[in-house]
Amino acid sequence: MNSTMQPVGPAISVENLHVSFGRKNQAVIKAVDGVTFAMQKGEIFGIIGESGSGKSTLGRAMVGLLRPSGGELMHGDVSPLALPSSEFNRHRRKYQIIAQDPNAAFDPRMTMLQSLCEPLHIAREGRRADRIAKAFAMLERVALPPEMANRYPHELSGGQKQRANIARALMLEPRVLVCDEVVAALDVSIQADMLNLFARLREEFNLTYVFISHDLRVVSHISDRVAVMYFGKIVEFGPARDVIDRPLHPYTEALRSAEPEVIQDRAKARKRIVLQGEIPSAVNPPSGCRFHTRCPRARDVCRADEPKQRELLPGRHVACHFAEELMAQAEPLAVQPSRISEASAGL
Amino acid sequence: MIAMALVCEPRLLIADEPTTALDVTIQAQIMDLLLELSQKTGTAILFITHNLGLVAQSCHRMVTMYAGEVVESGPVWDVIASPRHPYSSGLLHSIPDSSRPRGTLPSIPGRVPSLRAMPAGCRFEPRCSYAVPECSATQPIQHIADREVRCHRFAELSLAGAGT
Repeated sequence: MNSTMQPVGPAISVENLHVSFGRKNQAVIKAVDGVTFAMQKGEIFGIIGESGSGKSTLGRAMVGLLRPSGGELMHGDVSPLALPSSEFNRHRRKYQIIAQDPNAAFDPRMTMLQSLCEPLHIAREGRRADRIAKAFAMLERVALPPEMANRYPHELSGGQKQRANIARALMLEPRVLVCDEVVAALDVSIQADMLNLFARLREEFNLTYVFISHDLRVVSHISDRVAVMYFGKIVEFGPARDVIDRPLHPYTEALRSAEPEVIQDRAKARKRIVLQGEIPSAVNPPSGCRFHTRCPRARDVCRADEPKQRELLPGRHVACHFAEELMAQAEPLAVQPSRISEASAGL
Repeated sequence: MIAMALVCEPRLLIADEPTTALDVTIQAQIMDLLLELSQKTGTAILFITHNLGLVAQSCHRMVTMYAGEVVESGPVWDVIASPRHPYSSGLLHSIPDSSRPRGTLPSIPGRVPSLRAMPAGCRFEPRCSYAVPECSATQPIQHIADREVRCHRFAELSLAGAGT
């Protein structure tokens, strides 16, 4: 391990974070627009939302890959953006990101061994023999056989490539790993293997994860807490299962109801909400609550005023004018205790 | 894409992973559109996907394929609630489910065999936790009422379906 001590307290905290794109004479796109939360060390923090909600931008800004246009970012008690650039580069090695597309993540002309050693080479860490030994050790940790080291990316399956991608991210012994849609392209059985691997690596390497996905099942399975993003803002966050099983924001409710159900009793009991349209243009955000253009519960106040985020239940934060109303209602989407779920003792 | 496919009023529409990588909200819109069209025009839809939830929600009948063979078929909810082939059961079981305690997800060990090294008998046998020596013999597909299964042990096994 690196000799630097792990900071106490939150692993990453952001306060009123803004990330905007665009030049002065162009329309500014506010991809992340005032986000505040703190992630604890060792936590798995899920971020869900549709394409264009700003979740990947937030993930990249959290590790310092993108420079925020406003607000504060803290890695433990370090303010990474205040560091001089040489120190920032060294600091950033402990905050790694794994991207969605493993095909784009590897140089097709490099063997897996070369790709795995590259981060250490760039960081000038260790001698050649040490790097190679470490690469083989990491392959083993992600359950890839050693003969994979001499293969080229096209010789690996999708699941193997994603494992190699994880192995490479671990080479610099990160504290925080941002996983951006890492299981989206895999089929269910391989997806289950990968989720199990992530859980195991968290224990082995004492990692903190940011898990970005549009798959609610995946996020609620792996995460401790989740944040639901819509149009650059967090509309709801709290303990993962509570948020998914009993949404308190109409957007979360709609996402939940759009997720196809595999259990017949639940599918029948399910109230389906099909949201119309897509996320509106980022150049011209709607007034008031940004979700009002698609919200089945929207009323006049939603067009005029932006709802404030408040803590409705311990640890559960929601930004919706009618969240209290939603909470008071019977739980339309909660899992009904049925014969099936009572009998569910797992395999 | 869908408009192009429907211009000639086809009798059959083959939709190969039409919503993979889309957001759930957009996926719901596309599925509603497809199902509405199919009802209005009588177009049959062959829906190819690895999303079992979508199959459950949209289809009448389903076929599970493994390594180039049909291993099971039947009415959707019957197969999902009580699969008769260990492969269908394994797939259904590896879906994360919020009513189960968190922890290790069940998954199917091993990989799909390569085309050059296809097992002679049951093709799923090397990965199957219910395999017995007889499984190395060729497996014919068996018909039971409105269902089919390619597993000689189907009657003695009681396999887990979704959510169990």
